[in-house]
Amino acid sequence: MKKILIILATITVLFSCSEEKVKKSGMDFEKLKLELNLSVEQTLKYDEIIKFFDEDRASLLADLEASGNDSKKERNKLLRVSYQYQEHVLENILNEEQKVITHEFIKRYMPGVVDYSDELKAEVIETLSLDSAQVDQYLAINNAFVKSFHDAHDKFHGNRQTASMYWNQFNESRKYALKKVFSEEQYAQYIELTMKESYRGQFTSK
Amino acid sequence: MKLSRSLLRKKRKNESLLKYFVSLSHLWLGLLSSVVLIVVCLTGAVFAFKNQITELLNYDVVFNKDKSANEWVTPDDINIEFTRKGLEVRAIDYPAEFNRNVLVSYQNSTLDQKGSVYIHPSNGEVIGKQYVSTAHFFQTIKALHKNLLLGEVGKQIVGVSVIIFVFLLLSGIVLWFPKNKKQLKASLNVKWSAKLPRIIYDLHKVIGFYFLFPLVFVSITGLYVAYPWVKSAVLVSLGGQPVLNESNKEEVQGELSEKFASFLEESLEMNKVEKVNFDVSLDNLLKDVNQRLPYKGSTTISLAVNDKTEIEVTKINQEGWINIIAPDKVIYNQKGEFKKAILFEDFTLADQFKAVSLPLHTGKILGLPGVIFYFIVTLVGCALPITGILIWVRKL
Repeated sequence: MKKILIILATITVLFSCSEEKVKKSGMDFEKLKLELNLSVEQTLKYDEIIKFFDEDRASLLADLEASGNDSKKERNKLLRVSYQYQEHVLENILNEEQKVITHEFIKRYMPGVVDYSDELKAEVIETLSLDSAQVDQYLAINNAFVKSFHDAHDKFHGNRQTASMYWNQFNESRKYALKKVFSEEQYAQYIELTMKESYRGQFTSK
Repeated sequence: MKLSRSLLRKKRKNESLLKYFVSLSHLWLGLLSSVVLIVVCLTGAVFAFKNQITELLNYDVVFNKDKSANEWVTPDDINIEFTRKGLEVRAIDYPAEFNRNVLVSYQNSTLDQKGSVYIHPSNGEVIGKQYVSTAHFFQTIKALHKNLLLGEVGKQIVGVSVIIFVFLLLSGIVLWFPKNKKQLKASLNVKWSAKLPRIIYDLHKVIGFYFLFPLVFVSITGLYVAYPWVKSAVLVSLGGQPVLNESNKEEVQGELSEKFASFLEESLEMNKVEKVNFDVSLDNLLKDVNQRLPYKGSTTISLAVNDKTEIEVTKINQEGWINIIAPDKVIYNQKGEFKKAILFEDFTLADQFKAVSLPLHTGKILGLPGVIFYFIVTLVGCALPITGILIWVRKL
């Protein structure tokens, strides 16, 4: 019986440790690779770039850790800069269609981004031709959305499904507030534009 | 055959049906969850000392060896000194005692660099940065504690095991319950003169009894973090709002809309405030905070840098050898004018619990004595499945 117990305990420990590799945080560039449909030559260069940036990020994160200032906020900031730079380097080996896929992928999985991307927000301002008063209100409403979501953190902490529910609930409040600021036409355009990032707030799918 | 007999023993003659079923489920569920509980308790015990271990490894910079220090370096002097070096101070952490150095967080906007450095508490001389980082080690310990490094599946395994643990503790009390005075005495003491198997049995029974409440408390505060339904139950029982779910959407919606409206109002007001560099005396702010919060404690001054338009001063009471670590906050505008004080004692009971749920789970809420106590509690939590297995193995 003792043997059975020892085997059980060993299996549990080994199983636990083996999963660590799988749980590597960060973007899944293997998934992107499949989406890109790269040529043989592109694949070689792609792998090289991914390897270089993976190692570079590991070293940057180690430096950050050593500085004693490696809060989640700081880590995400560092990662965001690194991923943006990586996208820029990848662009050199990709065609136009692949560039769009890469850009959307990196934008979607950018760490620490809970709201629509700055790119989309800028597009909203431009496409809807918001006047300065509307811009101020639009920015304030988005700011209130982010603050409300962060404020509820204690309630959804550790539970992605609940986090999604809070995100959607505050997004409803945002839409309600925007309806008052935008004209009917502008609001319809806004809804259409935000469809581009309809994956935001779906924390379960990450 | 022996194994199945030990797992499904016959009901004893004078044993009640309830005790028989409780005993069997105590054994089965205990065996099922034992390995997970040992891992969770051990990692919890190690993680409880995260701050202490990190500080000890960085002893030379965290602690002040100069016993003559008796007057604090002022925040204005720190600010002037860092500005002279081309650095912008983001926050200053004053400890409660002179045996620790002051921690200053700064940034270099031109180089987009941030850092933290310890300085002497009296003369402001730079002592150095933390040179040993334990972040990676403790991240692994935390992940093991939360999900056995198995992601969402592991989280569920840990959650279910902890629920089982609560059942084991409560069913243990049913099994422990003595029938008479003589048995009561035996149930409260370990018979050290007896043979080893009896000592193990006594240990399982006696320490399980004495540590019942702390273990149930630690388990429930852990479940509070893991499961929204436990969080809802706790918050509602303390007079707060439940966590949002499909069934209570309409009930909670109103509160969330109000929250959004208040943040929107704040954001619109912020838009009107232009970000200007005012020459604010941090010394005066600190004096004001100490008048408003006249107790000895650690103080953190967060300056209005980057996108922040307010100066926040957080103070934590550290009077007495045992105290509740609950932060009070005083907020000033950019001009250094008092805006509001957010005192922990003014929170509703549910909000207080929400604010301190993590330190309640880790023991940090009571400072070092609390952490030491929780360490003992988690070791006991670890000892219970071990002694339980030993008792069962002997019966095989």
